[in-house]
Amino acid sequence: MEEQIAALTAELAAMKDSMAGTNRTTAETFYYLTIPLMVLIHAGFLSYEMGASRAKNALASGIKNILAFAFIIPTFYYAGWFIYWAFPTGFTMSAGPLGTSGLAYAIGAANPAGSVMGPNVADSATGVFFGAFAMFAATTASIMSGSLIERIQIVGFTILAIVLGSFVWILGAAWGWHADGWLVTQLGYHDFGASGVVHAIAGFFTLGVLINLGARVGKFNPDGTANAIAGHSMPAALVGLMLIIAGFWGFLMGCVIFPGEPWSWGSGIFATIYGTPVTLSAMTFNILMGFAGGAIAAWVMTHDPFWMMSGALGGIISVAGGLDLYWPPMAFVIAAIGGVIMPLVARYVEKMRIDDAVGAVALHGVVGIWGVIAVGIFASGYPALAAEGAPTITLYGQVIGAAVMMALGFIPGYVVSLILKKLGMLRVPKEAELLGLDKVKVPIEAYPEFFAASPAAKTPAE
Amino acid sequence: MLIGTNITDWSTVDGAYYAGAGSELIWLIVSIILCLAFLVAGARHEKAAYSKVR
Repeated sequence: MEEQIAALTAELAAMKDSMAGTNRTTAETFYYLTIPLMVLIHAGFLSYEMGASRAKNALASGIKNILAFAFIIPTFYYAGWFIYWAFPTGFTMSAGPLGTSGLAYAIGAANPAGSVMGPNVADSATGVFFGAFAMFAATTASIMSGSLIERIQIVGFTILAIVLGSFVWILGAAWGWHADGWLVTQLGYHDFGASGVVHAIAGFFTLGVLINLGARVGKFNPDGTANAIAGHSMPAALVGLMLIIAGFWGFLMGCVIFPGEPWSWGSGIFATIYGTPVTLSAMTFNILMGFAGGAIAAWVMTHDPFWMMSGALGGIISVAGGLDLYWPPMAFVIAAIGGVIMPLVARYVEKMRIDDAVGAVALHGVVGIWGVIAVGIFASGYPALAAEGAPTITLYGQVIGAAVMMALGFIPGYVVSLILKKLGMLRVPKEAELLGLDKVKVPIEAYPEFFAASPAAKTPAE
Repeated sequence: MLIGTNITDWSTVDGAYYAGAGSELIWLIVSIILCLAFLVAGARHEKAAYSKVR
């Protein structure tokens, strides 16, 4: 009898080991797969920005986009991942209530000079988490990239991308997208799908840069009216936008915490980054409703396929903050409001003589802020954390959080771009802009058979 | 020596492993310097390209 019990115990232990191994590798694979899905976002931004550029600038826009992605990876490794774990409670780098933050924790969990940030047979999580966050970081840089096309210097832009992607947004994520983040623990801030910490920060950073960068030659007439500067391939831009939306599924997949691991919030169900429950089913309802509401509202507002696809993206951004909480028809309404806001804000930005080539300030900045505030309007009262006595989600907390995201994006964007401007590293010379950036600094041509002999179209102001 | 390993049997590996002698910090510094050098090289190329246009 004792031998049988011992045999059963050994068999049970072996089964538990096997199940733990399966769960561990499934969790690892789950986050690993978010990465190629998020690479679709960058494939989309590449196509979108090149399409939105005139043919004379198509490849220069592509280079800028590729470089932002490439430089974010090492710089996020050097600094971004450490910032996320070191700064949730603020600049003091003290530990938060949960104990997964602060200087000492970050040195253990995210030291770029330590063994934790490398191959380790006992750690199947750090690398894939880092990878998913690095993709979020690259997304912030790509959000900015499209607005600045056709007149920004490549290295100046790359420096801005590094500042935004590896330093600025991740500080916002530490504050509002971490269970020890001070916005969460003190104000009940909730931003499940990063409406604020990714989109609003990137959009307002972009606004700060645009003010110093100035408009493209020919964008505005002397009387202040604006000329439309059409990109050379609207189909490429539209396909790019759809690829970004496909990639968003990976982005939002990366916003959940897999169950059943030592670092998980529990077993049996996914959790948000705050430890509150969420299911992929709930997210699916609301992502699809967000897509639909935003696209349809933008169609009614503009009848323009470019803005419809931007509206679809804006719809998802509008509901991203509360994807885990909304009732799907409610998500449709929230997304439709986002789809209405977006073109109105884009027109206002243009009226202010700011040349935002792809409308990122409206789409990501202002609609991102709408997404944060919408959580306070439509989902107040839920506990913001899983712990007992946690603060609840309130409109007040969301509005304060939105203001923090706006300031955290705008101020560094404005200051760093101003410094680059003073150093002569922000804008290309007028002669280069008129000739076309591809001819000036790219060794190959985008369309040698079609466009080599014909000059680019000019606006009346040119 | 900056590369190489003392591992000769995978069954002895139960945690982190590092294909290099000395500290990981060396490679961190080398890669940061390389990133900065790439940015400087890129800026020089851009400056030269704009000078030609002018």
